[in-house]
Amino acid sequence: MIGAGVFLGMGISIGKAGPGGLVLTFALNGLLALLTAMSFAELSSAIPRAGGAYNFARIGFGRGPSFLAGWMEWFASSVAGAMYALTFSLYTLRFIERIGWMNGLYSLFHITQSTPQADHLVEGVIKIVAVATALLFIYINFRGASETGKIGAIITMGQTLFVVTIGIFGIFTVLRDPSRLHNFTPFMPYGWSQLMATMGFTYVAFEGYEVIAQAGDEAIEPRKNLPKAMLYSVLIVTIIYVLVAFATVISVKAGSSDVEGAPWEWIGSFGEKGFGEAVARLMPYGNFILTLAVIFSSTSALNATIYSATRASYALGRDRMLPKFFASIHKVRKTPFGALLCTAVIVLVVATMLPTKDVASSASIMFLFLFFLVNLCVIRIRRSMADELNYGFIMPLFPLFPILAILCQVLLAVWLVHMSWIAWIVAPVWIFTGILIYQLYSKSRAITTADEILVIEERPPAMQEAERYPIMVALANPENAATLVRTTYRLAEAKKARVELIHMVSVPDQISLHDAERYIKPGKEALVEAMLYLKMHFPLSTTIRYCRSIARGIISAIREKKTRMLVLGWHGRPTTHLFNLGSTIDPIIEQSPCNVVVLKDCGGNKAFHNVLVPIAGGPHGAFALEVADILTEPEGKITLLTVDTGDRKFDLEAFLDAQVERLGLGRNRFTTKVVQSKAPLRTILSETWEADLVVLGTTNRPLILEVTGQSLPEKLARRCGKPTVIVKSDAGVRSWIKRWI
Amino acid sequence: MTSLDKSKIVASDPRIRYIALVLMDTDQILGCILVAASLTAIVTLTLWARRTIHRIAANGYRTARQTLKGFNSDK
Repeated sequence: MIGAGVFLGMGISIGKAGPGGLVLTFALNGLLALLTAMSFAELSSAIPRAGGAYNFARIGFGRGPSFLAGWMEWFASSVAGAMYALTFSLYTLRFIERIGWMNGLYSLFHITQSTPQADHLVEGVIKIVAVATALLFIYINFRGASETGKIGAIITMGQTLFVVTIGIFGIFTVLRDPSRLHNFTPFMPYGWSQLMATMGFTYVAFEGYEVIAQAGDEAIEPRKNLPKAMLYSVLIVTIIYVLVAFATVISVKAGSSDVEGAPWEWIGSFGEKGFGEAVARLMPYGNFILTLAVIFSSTSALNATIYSATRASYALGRDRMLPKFFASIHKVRKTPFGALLCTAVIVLVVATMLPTKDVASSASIMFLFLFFLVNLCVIRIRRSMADELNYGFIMPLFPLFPILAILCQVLLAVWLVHMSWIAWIVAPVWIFTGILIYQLYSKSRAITTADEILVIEERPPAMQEAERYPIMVALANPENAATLVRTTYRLAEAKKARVELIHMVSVPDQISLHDAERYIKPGKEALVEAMLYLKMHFPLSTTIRYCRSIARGIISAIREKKTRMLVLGWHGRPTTHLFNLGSTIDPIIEQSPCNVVVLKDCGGNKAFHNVLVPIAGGPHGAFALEVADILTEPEGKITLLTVDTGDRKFDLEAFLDAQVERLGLGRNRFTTKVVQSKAPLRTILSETWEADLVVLGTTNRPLILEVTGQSLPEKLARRCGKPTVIVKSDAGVRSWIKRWI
Repeated sequence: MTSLDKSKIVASDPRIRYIALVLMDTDQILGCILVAASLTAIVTLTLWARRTIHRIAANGYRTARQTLKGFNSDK
């Protein structure tokens, strides 16, 4: 993780943000990196498989975004590889020049040192050495993983030792000569806004932890060790970077001979070589120690990024999102040589064509975009698969950290335009090219994986009926179908709807979805049962799907078919203390992007004449009122009940008048009742004795509080002995935000 | 008094090093607070995460909902 980003970043950042800005850049970037590392840690602990961001996006958002994640990861790692090769070359040649070995080259071309011609020559040699270094490590990666691992371990130890030495020297220097603290004045010479640009520019120096996610298949006890490795690496690296930034600032004594201006200005004037000049002044044999540190850290990072880029493009090839060539494995070496060759092309082209500063900025911006996507994935996956995946780490204050990280990453990416406008051309061009390739090539060729939902049988609605209000009815078995049809009939009639019957077949993980025929029989019978009753009255379509999780399968079908209302049954029996209504219904209520109606004991030929609707002013009250009106017999009466606990006032009459007018209902069949009590649950339960149906809205408590126990509507639904309907209305983004934050 | 003079005072007499804080400008004080705060946050969050990882590993790997309920009941 300690790579060239820090060596390139120090000199450029101190010139841009000043001495204080430099230390702050690395301290705050460390915090930001930790936020994203927490997302990576949580996802890697839940999905400990090779593939990293590509895998997470595939599970969280499906093929399109996952292709984009893999595409960005490939490019980001390749560009970072080019940057490390350039840094290695830059600092090695600087050392060679210092010890006078470049003079031979100057005399060979008949040019004098420190002239524009000499600078051009050095630039050319830097590019050649960078290309040679990149080629060497491409070959090492081609040789295979065992060689890669051994070399990686040696150079990681070496680089950490050297960089820590620089930091320790900085501390001892200040203890010996505290006047060097004067170098921190002025603290932020160009203002605080420059901090954003330097944070964006040096963000790439913290990116290494995402490579750990690539090792999901190979790690020992990955659910425990992957998150630990990621978080420890960010902690250690941040402390080292802050130490090294501090050492850079105090390395030069103000007023020394040949130091023009303030020390920070002098260091900054050397640009990407500024760190080298600082370390040379800080410690004896500084040039030599620095060169060793750069050799170790750049080559280690170069090795890791080529590995990461190759695996990312290989995964795209393996899933046929890129041509088959990307998935080619060498017969002898067993390494993905196709993906490695394509990665090599990007590394070499970028290292040769772009200036070092723009290469670093391009790498940073690509990683910012990539991590932005991963932070979205962690929110999405926790939300949609919290009951399916086993987690080895769960981040605190969810989803605060990923949201904070997303906001900061957007801000830094925008500010990066102040460092390199070329990066802001290269990155979008690469992303749009990726989108184009996905639309024209990958979309039609991608392989379906075993994790996806399999559609077995589908009868779509007739074209002329497609515009009608779509109601989906989830059927489990013939008994359950019989309890749902009558209520569905009333709802479909009132809404002039078409009905979609769905049966999800849950298939255990050990069995392939394609071999799951044996689980289909009860579902087919349920569909036939429901069709017998409903087909005569409403346009009907049916679908049977196999899936790993019923809840996820239903939610996915709702999204796909743009369903407006879902009807499902609930047995009403006690479930584990983990769920309010059950492991299937809870996620459906939480995540369905449509209205949901859950029926308990509403089957048979029950007619409802006296309906009770407990109301407390929540967002689902209006929909509860509407459903109660639909299900009540024409001559029946509906009682709206609210319990006044004295905590807050709710005007039930005003609410009823407003809703009656809005929904166009008859006012006469509604009556209101306000009861004063400190025990709302007991009061409502006692009021249900004369009702023949209870309709109530689901809880509106934020999810984060729900872990503390069941909420009142769910307790009421469980204890109520009468037929009960629980409803949830969909208010789009507004309800999503309210429920989550 | 220039910044250089201030630092000379600090350097010359260890007993009055605390004066350094008084002599710092607003940017420097804010910067020091930010660096200290972010390093403290990083260390605290990492230690907290380590504890959580060990706790989950000891109780067995379960779903997010089960794990959160487990944490809550432990309290």
